[in-house]
Amino acid sequence: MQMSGHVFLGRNRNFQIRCRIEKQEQEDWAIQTIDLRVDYGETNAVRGLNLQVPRGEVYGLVGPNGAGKTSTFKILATLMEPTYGEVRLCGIDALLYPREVRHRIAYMPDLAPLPSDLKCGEFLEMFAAAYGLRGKAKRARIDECLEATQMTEKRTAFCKTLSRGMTQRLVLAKSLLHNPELMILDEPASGMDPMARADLRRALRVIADAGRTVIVSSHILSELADMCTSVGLMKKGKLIASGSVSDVVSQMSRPQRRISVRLVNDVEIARQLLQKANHVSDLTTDAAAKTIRFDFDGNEDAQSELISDLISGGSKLRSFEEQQSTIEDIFIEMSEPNKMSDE
Amino acid sequence: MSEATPESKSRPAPAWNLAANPIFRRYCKSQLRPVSTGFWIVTVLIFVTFFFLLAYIGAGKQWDDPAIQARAAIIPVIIIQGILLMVFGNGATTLAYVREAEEGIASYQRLTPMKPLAKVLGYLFGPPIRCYLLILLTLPFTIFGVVKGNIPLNDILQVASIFFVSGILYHLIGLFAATVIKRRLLAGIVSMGIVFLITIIMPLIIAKSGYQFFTHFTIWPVLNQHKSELIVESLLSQNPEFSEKDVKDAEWKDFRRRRGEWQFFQYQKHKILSETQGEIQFFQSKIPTFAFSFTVQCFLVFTFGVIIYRRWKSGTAHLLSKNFCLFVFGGILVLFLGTSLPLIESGQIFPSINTQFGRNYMASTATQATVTEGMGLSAACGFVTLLIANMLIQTITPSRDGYIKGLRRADKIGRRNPKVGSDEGTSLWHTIIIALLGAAAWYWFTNTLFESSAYPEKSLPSHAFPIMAAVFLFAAICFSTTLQVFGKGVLWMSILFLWIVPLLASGICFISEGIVAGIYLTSPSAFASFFNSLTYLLDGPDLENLKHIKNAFWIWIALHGFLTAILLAVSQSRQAQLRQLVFNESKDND
Repeated sequence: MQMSGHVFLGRNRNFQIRCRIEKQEQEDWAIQTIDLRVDYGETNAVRGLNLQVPRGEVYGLVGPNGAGKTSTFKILATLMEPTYGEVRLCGIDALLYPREVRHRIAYMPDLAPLPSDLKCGEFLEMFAAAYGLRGKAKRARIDECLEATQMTEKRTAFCKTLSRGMTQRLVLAKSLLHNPELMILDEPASGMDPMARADLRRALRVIADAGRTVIVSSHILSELADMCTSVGLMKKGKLIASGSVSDVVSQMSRPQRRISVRLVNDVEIARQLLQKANHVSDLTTDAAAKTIRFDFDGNEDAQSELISDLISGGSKLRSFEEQQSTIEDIFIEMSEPNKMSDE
Repeated sequence: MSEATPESKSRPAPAWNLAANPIFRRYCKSQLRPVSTGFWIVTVLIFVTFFFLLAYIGAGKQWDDPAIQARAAIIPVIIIQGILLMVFGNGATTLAYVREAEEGIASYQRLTPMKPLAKVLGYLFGPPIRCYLLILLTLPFTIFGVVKGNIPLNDILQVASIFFVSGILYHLIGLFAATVIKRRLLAGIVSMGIVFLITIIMPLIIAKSGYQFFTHFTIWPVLNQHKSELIVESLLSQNPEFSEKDVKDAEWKDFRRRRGEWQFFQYQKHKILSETQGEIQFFQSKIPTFAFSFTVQCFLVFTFGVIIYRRWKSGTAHLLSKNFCLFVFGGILVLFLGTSLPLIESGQIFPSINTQFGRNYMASTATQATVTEGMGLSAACGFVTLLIANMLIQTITPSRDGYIKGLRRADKIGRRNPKVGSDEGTSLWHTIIIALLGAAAWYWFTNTLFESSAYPEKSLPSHAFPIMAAVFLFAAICFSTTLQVFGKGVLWMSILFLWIVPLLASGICFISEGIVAGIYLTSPSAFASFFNSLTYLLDGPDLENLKHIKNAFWIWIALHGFLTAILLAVSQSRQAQLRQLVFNESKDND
């Protein structure tokens, strides 16, 4: 593998960089990491990460604490150099051309800070100028971003007077100033109350609808599943699954399905029958609710047979429900030690 | 939401365009809010007016010349400007950047596509903007003094330029401290400490070890030169007969105590000073003081600029790259030798001749230094050179974690070791080059010193350089390998117990008349080895305990030679272990 920084570019360096970047920009991936590794001393935070996110996706990165999400995000944001590996953002080598990449990305960390001595408008003006916006275009862009994040009325307020939710929205407004192609959002809803989270979610929807690529990590998984077109699961520095939400759920779900049966008559008859049935395990009964739950690892024919047996055995079924695993179930299982293998 | 217009996609303004610099503009807004700025304007104006009038009216009672009055009144204004620029400006720069680093705003700034130079300039001129405004407000007083006092424009331009460069240097030091240290209070203390070291400690103490050029990191040489010229001119305008008085060199100091002759003493003193301070002898050539101070300060500004640039580019990068470190050390040695060697023949290098303290307390005639003083001076020069060398070695030596990271990177591209010039590569080869450069400079200085007319009967033997190189090599390699293998904690403890404590203990022995025990106690200390080695090489002055000092030196050589060999072996073995660890790790991953 060609390590970054070892490339000799010759005399007309800027021209060669421009040509190379223009060529790279044609690629389809918004994010592409190859064999990425991050170490903190002897602690290995990310190992061999191969992540590919197509342009226009809203990609959720899920994993328990210490999975390596924040390290990955910092490298994607060009804030940190990996031990080794390649990172291409919007087709450009982020380790070789960080300044070029920075024109195209926006990074929003969790618990985003704001300068206490500036007003919201001044804060946005500073960053708009840093991205090369000037004059009327700058003012218009700031107005647009404030409006998109519903912060227009706070323009002259000091940053230090904002609530947590407003702070995140102002940082989001700052992230939008230069129309980034890729947004990297690390726990954007961290520390926010439900109302503020709902506001932020609305703002993120606007961004996603505009066709930008977004990579987001969050612990509020129902929101992620709702919003993301694809997700990746990280554990102990490795990406263990990646794809659409349903693909990842089916890929990561246990082979057994959890089935819940609600009855009209007494549960005892059904319980005795299920105990003797094939493919059934982990049976639990709730007599008061007239409900039985069990794991079933048979195929669809075996499941159909089981329903027939229950009915013919005298059980009056009110419902026979197969419980779907959610991304949240998988996350909880991942977070529990020894529940899921690393691979 | 609309897409950005083509205009809005334009590149950030060029780095030199300070008016369009976002960081500069941000601080203009936050630092120049009306209420706080108004308070500072009123306060500074009150102080400047008070001290200006005090000096102007006070001078009027002693001198009958409005030009001299105006010149006297400008002094407190310059002092206030200096305090605003050096103290308040330095503090504002340090605290602003540390606060941004603490709050996390600095990370945002790193993510913008601004050029590193634009960021440095923004932080250099933005946070102290209020200080610049306040200095601007005091300018009418300066202009009054310059015009009314008939101060030549060239003089005031030179002083203003050196003031400006010093201000930038001190603000860069503030930025450096804030970049390296993440805690606000500590960064403030370190920043002020470095400024104090450069402006006070270095010119007063370290400069006496031969490192004369350290005084040029301050504004004093240029300021003193012009001050002396103006005083001579003022005194001559009041007393034209002074120019006709013929006084022998040895006699003029007596006028200090003569009744009614104090003014003549001042005239004579500043006349000599203005003649000697106007130019700096650098090797064989003479350089105007202003040009020399300006160049020396620009060298330091450039070095600190590189440090900050590297740290902002990568938070884990060493302060200086290994090769740039060689350039910095080489530059320091050239400045040291260039300014100190010409002072040897004239005797100006010797504290016993050149300083009041030396004349009062050091045994020497007015024109001749003793052999012990020469050895002490050379030893002090070697000691300071080793300190600077070790400081630089520390910045280029990789930590254990850094070395492992380098090994992993190297392993990935099929190399056995990290590149020697990279941050993660071993610093051993650069340490050896630094040690040899330091030894060469020390040898050159010592040889010139003992070849001079001050010591007609002493000279270094032919085998002096290998011995001096061994002293530097052993001390530097022990320092570097201990740091690389065991880390900073063990290194500083070793220095404390091996190099400093024995020296302190020997001091106690010397004053309690246990001279021989004291001499042998100095033997483990690298700091004492400089003096002890010279005693061996020059056959010392007629010291009673010459034999014991020579023994102490050989003990040092044996001990540090042994330690160097052991530490190098341990270092190689540790490196092999880590290489194996990384190799096994990559095999497992495959």
